[in-house]
Amino acid sequence: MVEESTATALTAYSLQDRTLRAVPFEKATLNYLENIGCPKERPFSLSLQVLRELLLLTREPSLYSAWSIYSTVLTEHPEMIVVEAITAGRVFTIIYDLFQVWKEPKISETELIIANAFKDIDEVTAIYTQRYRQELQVIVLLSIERYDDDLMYKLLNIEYDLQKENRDPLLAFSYIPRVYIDKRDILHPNALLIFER
Amino acid sequence: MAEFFVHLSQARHNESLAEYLLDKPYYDWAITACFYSAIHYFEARLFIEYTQNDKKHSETSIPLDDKGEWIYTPHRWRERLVHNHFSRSTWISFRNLREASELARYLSYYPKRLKVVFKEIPSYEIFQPKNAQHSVNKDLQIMKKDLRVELGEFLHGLEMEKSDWLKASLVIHKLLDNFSSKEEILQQGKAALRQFLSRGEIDFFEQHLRSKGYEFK
Repeated sequence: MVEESTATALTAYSLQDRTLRAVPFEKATLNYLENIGCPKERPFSLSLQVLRELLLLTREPSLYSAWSIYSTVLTEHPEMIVVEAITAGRVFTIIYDLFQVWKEPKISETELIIANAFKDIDEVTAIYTQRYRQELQVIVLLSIERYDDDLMYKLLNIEYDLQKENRDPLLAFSYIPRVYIDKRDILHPNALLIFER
Repeated sequence: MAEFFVHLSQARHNESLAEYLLDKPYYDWAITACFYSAIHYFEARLFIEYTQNDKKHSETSIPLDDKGEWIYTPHRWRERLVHNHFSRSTWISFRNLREASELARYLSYYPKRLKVVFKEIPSYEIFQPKNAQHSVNKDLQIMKKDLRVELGEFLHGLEMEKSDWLKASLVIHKLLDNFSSKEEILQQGKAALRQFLSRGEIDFFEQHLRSKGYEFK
């Protein structure tokens, strides 16, 4: 059994030379790391949650770098993920993430911006994307079981700004209440999971 | 593709059905009727503003890609036009009507592609009376106000395009952009019009106002 302290902080020490030291983090990212209590000097000790948060930083040029770290950890050091996942009781979630990374590693900047824009809305449980002709279709799954106009106004306010700022690809949003039995039924290979709560 | 009054009467017919259904257990269809009313109000506005060119119907102005295929679906293009030319609140109301009505009719657009297994419940159970009330009394009214439907109807009734369609088009475009009602134009008079219209356009407009029995106050 892994000790609590080991499990809550995923040590990225073994990655330091190849990834963390090489990543040109911007000031916003460094401020973020400082705000969450990370020491300024590398190597950092990052939890998986922090890596996820880094991935979702708004308009940050190092998004791809963060994604690169995340992918590296997931693909080259699955034992670290499993250690944390077992302790956190999230084995299936993490393994599913791992599967997604191997299968579809190319998440675009637009998709990261979309995920970041919706992540603070509690009722958003997952976001999938898929390409159709010139559109990037964005399917936002919601936890609600009844249509909620107030929630829709919040979501559409976010979409308004995303539509204003993104003309390529064309964004086509769809919001689906929890009218399906289980989101694990959503397994089409062309649909990419870009956010999951 | 219809003309101004055809769009307007279809919009009102659909709105009237939505209102009729408000106290009936068909909330989903009230919402859907609202969405189709909103489409016709929007198309009526396009028609009066762009009477003489391809922009008068949303479907004839959809941009094409290199292969000559539509870049947008008609619904998406209409949403883009609303986004580009009207307020944030109008766009949000229009999108909300579409989302709700599509959910009401299909549950969603993507079940087959995503292989979502849906609960065995009919779509109308997702909606409550308050959702239909919201569609009729809020979303559709926000759209109508911003589209300036009443003013459009008044300007169209002056039949300015029969004497000079180009000048009529310019005058209508400027008046719809800068005034919210017939009363506002008539009360503020020529002084207000001079900010947006040339002397010739004001004379042209006044001539048609008088021919229909209206005067500036």
